[in-house]
Amino acid sequence: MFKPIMRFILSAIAVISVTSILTSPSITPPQHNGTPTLNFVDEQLLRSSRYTQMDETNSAVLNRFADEFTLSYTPSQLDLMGFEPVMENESMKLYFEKDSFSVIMNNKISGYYWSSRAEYQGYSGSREDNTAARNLMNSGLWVDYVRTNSVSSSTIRTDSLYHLANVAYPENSGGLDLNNLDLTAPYLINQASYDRTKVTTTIQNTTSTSMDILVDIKALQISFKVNLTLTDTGLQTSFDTTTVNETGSTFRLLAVSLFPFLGSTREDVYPGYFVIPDGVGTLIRTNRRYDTSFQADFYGSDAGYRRTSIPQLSLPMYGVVHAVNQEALLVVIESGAEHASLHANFWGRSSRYHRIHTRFHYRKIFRQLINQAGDGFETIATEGVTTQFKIKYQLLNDQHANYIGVANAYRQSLINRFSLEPTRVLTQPSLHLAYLVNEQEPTFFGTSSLQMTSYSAIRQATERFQEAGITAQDISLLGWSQDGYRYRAPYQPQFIDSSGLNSFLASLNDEQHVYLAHNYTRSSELSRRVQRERDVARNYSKVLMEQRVSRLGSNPFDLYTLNPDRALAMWESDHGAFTSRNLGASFESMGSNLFSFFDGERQSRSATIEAYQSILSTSPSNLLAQANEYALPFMNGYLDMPITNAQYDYYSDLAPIIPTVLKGIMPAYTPYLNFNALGQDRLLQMIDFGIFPSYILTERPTSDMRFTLSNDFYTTALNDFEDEILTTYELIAQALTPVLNRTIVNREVLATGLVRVTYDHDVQIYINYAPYVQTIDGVTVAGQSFEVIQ
Amino acid sequence: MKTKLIYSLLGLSLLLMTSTPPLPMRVEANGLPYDTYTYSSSRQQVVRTQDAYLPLSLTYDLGGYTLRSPEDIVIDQQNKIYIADRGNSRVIAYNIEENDAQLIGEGILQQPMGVAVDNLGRVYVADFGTKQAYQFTLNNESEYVLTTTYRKPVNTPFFGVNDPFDPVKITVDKGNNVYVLLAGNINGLGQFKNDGEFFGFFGGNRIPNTLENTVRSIIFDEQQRRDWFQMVPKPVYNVSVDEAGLILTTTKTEDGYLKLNIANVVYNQADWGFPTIEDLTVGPYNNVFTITSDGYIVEYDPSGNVLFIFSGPDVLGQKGLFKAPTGIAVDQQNNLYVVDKTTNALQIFVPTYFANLVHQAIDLYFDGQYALALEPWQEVLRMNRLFDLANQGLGDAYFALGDYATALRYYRIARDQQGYSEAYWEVRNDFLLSAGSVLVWGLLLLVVLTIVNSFVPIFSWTKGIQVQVHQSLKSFKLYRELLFPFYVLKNPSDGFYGIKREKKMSNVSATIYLFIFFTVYLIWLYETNFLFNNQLPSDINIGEQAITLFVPFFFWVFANFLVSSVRDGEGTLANVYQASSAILLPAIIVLPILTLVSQALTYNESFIYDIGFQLLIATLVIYFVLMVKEIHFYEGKDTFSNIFVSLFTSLMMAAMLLIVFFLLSEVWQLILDIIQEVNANV
Repeated sequence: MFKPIMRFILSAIAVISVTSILTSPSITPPQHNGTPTLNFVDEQLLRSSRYTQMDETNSAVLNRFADEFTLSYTPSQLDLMGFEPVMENESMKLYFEKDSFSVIMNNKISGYYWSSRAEYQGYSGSREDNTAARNLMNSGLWVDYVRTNSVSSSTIRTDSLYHLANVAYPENSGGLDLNNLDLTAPYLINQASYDRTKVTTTIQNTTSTSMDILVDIKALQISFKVNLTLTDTGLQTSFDTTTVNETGSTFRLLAVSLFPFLGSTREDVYPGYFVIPDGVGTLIRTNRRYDTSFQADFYGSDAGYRRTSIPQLSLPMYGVVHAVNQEALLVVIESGAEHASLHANFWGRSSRYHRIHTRFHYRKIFRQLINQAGDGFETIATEGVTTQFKIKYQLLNDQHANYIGVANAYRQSLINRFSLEPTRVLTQPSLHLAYLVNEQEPTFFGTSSLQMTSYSAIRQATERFQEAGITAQDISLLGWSQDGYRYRAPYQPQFIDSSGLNSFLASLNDEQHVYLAHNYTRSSELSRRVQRERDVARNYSKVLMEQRVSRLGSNPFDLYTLNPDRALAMWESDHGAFTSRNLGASFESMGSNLFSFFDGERQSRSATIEAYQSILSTSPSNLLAQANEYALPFMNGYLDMPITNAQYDYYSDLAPIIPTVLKGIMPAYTPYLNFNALGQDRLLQMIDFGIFPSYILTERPTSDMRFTLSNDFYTTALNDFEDEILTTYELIAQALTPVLNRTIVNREVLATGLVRVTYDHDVQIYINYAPYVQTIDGVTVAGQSFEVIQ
Repeated sequence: MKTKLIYSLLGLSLLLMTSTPPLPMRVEANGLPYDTYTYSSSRQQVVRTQDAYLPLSLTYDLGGYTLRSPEDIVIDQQNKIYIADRGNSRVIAYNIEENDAQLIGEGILQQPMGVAVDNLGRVYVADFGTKQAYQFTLNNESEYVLTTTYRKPVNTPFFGVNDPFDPVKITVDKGNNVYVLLAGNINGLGQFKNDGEFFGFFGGNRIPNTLENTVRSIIFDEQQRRDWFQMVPKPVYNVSVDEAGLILTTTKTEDGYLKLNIANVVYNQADWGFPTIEDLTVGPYNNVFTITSDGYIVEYDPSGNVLFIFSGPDVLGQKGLFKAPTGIAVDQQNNLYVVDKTTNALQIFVPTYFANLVHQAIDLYFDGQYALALEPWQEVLRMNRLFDLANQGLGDAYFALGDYATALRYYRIARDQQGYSEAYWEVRNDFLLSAGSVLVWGLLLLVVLTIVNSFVPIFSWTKGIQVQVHQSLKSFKLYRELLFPFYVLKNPSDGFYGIKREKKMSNVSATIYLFIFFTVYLIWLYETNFLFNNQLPSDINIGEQAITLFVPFFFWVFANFLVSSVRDGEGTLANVYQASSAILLPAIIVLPILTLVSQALTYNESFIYDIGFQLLIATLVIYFVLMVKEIHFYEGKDTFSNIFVSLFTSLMMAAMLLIVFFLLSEVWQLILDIIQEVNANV
């Protein structure tokens, strides 16, 4: 047992070169002495958003930020603008201005101020925006609403509190006097203009750490309460949906945005970035003009309502870094993320500011169909959602003020909220192997079973890998049911070769876990179990959620999205098959698909979460792919770690947000390496992000299943991959064995293609993506290689 | 057809047919916003493959200049990029490594739409605005100066005074001849000497030789054909030149590209492609790249086989996708450069490890170094076991090494019919040579036994058993009925008379015949050697085949009965059904034989299979005619008239049924709509 572990530790030690860290960095440039140097285009690739880029080092930029754009207000200035100190603890002092619903948070440790307003307005010397735009920038609360007699996506209005209260500004105000800088000037309003017959905000139930604000928008006959609570870790705001009161019949509330300009940055002066958990993680640097906007629902688009965006925001959080390793803000949506969307607007023609915020959708517009041709009209639900909307704002500074700090602070929040503990203590990197057991093949009449892998072959392979030192294996069985695999789920719990499975299970050790691949979310008409009218979910327009597809090797067929309640019912009749053998489940699609649906009445995404959590909580153990936050507490491993993100044009960096969050909590696996077209680069990224390998395997040649629906797994043969699995694993183990069960505390890009990752026990891994040797701080890293330093 | 297929498959991953709004595009394996496909010869479909190219960040700033509606891009041997910057009335020469740009043609150009560069670094520009093309040369002061102008020729039969001369694209061959593509010109590319002298047209499309066009050509004169049927060749849409100086052209609404040799004859062409190609270019291994107006990039090998299909339309501003691409170019490292006239950006793609492997193999393969190509092809195949070009490449490599059995295996996986045929010939030859003596001895033994049997009937006991079985079965009516079609074959007149008057067959036996025929037909479909069978086993659908065979059959039977009823035919419905089934017997006998024979043949002996099949068809037609004649007791003329009218009636019946079907579906739809509307308002 200890032999293989020792083998890996020894081999890891063999490659670890302990060197003293020099104080001044020095980088060896690409070699030019006769050997090929990096092609310019290849270098551009390393500087593209597929990699993390170097942080701003230009002292002029950093000094300008420090000298001119580090926000600071005196008490009298704050008082002049109407801000009152309302709460305070050891790390933060909170100022609140109730009429505009604005906050200023003072980080007492660093002294830095975070404002919910767009700061430095008028810095060009003249008024920069019209009154409506200034009202938006100066209000900490926006509402989206619609007239009940004209419900349409195009008639949604987004108004700020100031706008609803008809706020106006003194004439010729808005521009700053650059010779006599008074930052408060643009925010001073004509006090008389604030129409309290249209809007009032009342502070209630005040304690030393909490207060409610009753927002009464009389102009719309809508009122609600927002709670502000100062906790040890930051400011928590709650939009209490039970307090929403719509007294009139003319307007209906659609959404609320809290502090939309909090953390906004002006033009190119802030040397930081926004942190967005899209895909594996994304940075958008705030030092350039993008002239565009970003919008995405948390937990992905809602297929039951409307699908509008590409990004998969699996974690309900985002971050704003004003200056790397100086000041940062983490925002966590602690409740109600399934009804929230993330919005960012970037400096361009319409604004000088980069801003990012969430919008909580209390009620959505959906299309009511009246005929089969798809004609219909837009309408809204009578009632809003009942889920509470809670956001936590946490201030970070110094070494925590970067995307790793943001990810780690979120990680701590996750651990606190869900009482998460590491799912297992790893003694070596774990390997995920998915074996395709059985598939359906077209034959003379219908289909017949094609057994691609026998359990004896799986057992022998498991033993061979174990003999080679890989004891920790997570094994997924695909096509374990007689139904086959692709598009045949939910499978009937009838095992192919039950005795073979039992004898395979009996041969496993404690570090080897078996999961049955199942899918209660996506199905198709090829499933023997699904009844269309009974089991397929209907969307908000009451239309069955089905898609006609034409896959190779098959006639066109309908893909289904299953009704979550029916999914739960099926699971309840199935789960004995799992528990009797203590088998885990690998629920495909469940972690990353969240939708609202119609089942007698319109059910929100919260109902789907509830059904899925019921399934996950009764399964002995779970592996989920690209799972959203609500599934994490039930998981033993994370599959298919995204390799990049939505790859929007304006994304500037790739950042390992999700890997950093999961590090030390559960093993995370890369998508099947069989289909890696990137070669060594992909393996280096796994080392960089701390991700473990994963393969899909068959005993028989892949070409045997080329006429099945699994034919897009175009290379799977165990014979083809056994050696590669061993070498890949050895490489990953060399790098990651010294940092098992540890967390990442820092990650720096030292030069183009050269990254240093620091763990909490001071072990550092240098990863060199460039094809040439790079030396920094006395550490030399070969091209396309890595070094572990202890 | 193929194009529809490609669209349907790519569409699958991008915009699924759905009752809800279409899925947005997503980010797939290897972190790309698109899937990569290749064409599978074995499955005759577009299939997924490893990602081949990675997109870099978009470039908007080219050495301090920005683009406005760029229309074309080209790269020289030193990887210097030239972009026809139409909106800014200039060409930008961009040195990407130094991020340095130089302007060409300012003050001269108005709407440059095409750009090319020759081996000497001279830049050629097609300007739609000034209706001229230009040559610019770098002078000693490192400035591009105008050296030659390519104008509309005068006093030439090629151009009338009113004929337009609208240069939109341009290219230059190895001999520095300049080809100017004129918008809407059906004669082809205007061919100029380098000094500006026009000397004819090259590469024009031809009117396809369809039956319809041939008839029109006979009946109408050229002007009438042009005026009435728009029967003119389609104008060439874009042009490029390969390493050997061969010209490649694309035409809107025509799939893929054509590669022309110096004699203006198609040398090779894309085995298939999109009909919306916007631009094309040729890479360092003579691999061809095309990009469509909706952003799909296709890479072909030098023979026109598809290597990769990737990228696509951009909806939400993702890297690697396009809104309105206008030009594509490739540098010496196989990096791709694409300009987009909507985003005004330059998008660069770099090949992945997998693409580099394929390129390495392709390079060796087309250099004839099959054995050296073995290793990269094997690695390609390991990374994608269903990559048919690798299977073909390995087949060729093993064939060149004389390992025909292994070659045969790879050819079979790739369904490479020609390769398989050649390898099989060799394998069969080896087998015959090695087993020759056994075969000869076996044959001799057979001859000896036959001779002996004629003197001493040693096999007579087998005949006795046959007769005994036959006699005992003859007591069953069904057995006699099933044997009767053999009699019909030998004596058609008597046979059909027997069916008609003596009830020699029944509907049961006819139905059994029909099903036997269907079974034999399915076996023939499934089991015929793939050299003679383009049908993929996985594509065969029993239901579809049953409909294909049975529906026309029963339409025929019914229509023939109806027609003959009013045209004095004697046959009843049962007679027509039984006789029509009986004449399927030749197919029941021959199809299994053809299936068996096909297993042993190569293309060298394909005539055996072809003749057998054609004879079968001829036999069936003859018996069919005889059947109608005898069953209805017609004369020759009436027979044919009856057949044609019956066939026409069958078509009318089918049309009527379709109309009824559509009407009923409308009624059903109406009911559903009413239910839905009631439901919506409850």
